[in-house]
Amino acid sequence: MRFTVLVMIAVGIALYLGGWSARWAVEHSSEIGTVVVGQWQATPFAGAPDADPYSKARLAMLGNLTLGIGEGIQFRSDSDGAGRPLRRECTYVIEGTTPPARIFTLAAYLPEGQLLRPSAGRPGWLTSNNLMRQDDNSFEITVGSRARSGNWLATSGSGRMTLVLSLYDTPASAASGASSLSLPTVRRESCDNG
Amino acid sequence: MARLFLALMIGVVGAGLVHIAVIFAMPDVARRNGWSRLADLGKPTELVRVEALDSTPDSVLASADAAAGEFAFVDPAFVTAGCRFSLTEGPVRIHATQNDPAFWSASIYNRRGDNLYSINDRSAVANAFDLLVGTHDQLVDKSAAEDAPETQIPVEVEMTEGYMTIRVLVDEESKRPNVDAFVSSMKCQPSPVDDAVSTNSIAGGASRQGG
Repeated sequence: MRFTVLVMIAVGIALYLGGWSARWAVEHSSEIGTVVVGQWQATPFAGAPDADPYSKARLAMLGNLTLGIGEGIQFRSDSDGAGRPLRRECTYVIEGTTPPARIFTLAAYLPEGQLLRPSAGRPGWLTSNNLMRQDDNSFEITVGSRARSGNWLATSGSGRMTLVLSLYDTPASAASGASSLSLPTVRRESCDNG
Repeated sequence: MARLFLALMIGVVGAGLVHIAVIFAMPDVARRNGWSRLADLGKPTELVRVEALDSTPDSVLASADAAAGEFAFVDPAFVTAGCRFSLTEGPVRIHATQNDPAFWSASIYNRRGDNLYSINDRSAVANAFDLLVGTHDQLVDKSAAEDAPETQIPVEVEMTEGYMTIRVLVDEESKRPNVDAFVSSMKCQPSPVDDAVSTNSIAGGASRQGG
């Protein structure tokens, strides 16, 4: 009887602790295999056959369509240069340059990945082909709910958001040097309610 | 007391094993992976469009619990499409009958979501999207049986089931009709080796004559 109880304790601990820790690890292991550049994070190995098991498990749970390693790389940011979370009621200025890429796009999403689609006629996403640039090829994009001259990415509503900068057909996605890239900075300009 | 301690230790070690087993099993048992989300959108070998998840202020809460076939962080600047296929019957030809000058990028994944192959418009022959996906043996049989079109690219993969995704850039709204036509002209056709094809077509022809 005593022995049975001990076995049950051992098995119970193994199953419960093992299952819980696996779940916790998948949900909180986002930094494994993640490359951080300034405010931007990317998981260049997501979907690669030789990715680490945690990234694979995470990807299976999220079910995203990943960009292949040869296709491009997707950087996400949910905080500004000062570390404050990005909010839809605020206006941000994104300036700088990206690593060489044939195309890059910038769009705003909810943290769960739904696209922020502003009302009709407003630009909900930008592509590099249509950007206005400075003489030195750098660009400045204003993200906010009020129309701006120059490059403007429209947002709407309030709450948190995630900016996604996707580079397509870029040598940066050959993951070797992803952490030494220079990416644009995100600066908060103003907020509607202070 | 010592035995209880031993039981606890065995439990902790067992937890480690369970942890490792769960992590490794996850890609195969997860119900909401890329494959099953594509399966919600359409039948095998059917080309389906993947739309970006929308958010309107009212539906934010409703859609937080993602429903069938929805993918997060889909790039709105692209028309994204995909199809699932199986290599058990022979190689699969994925091709578009039209060409489009827009930037496109395609990838092939196995069922677990491992990216096995990528191609874009620059690496394609004459900008044509024409892939023959199969295992090594299937591709050898196929090339022995018939001549492939010049633009066709054989893609050798070791898997039985997988899916393809393609993204076509729409950088200006005026280009959307062309891109739509390009994506609509894509097919994921099983293309078994010759004798199987001829038997099928004879059988099909006979039954049509009979009926």
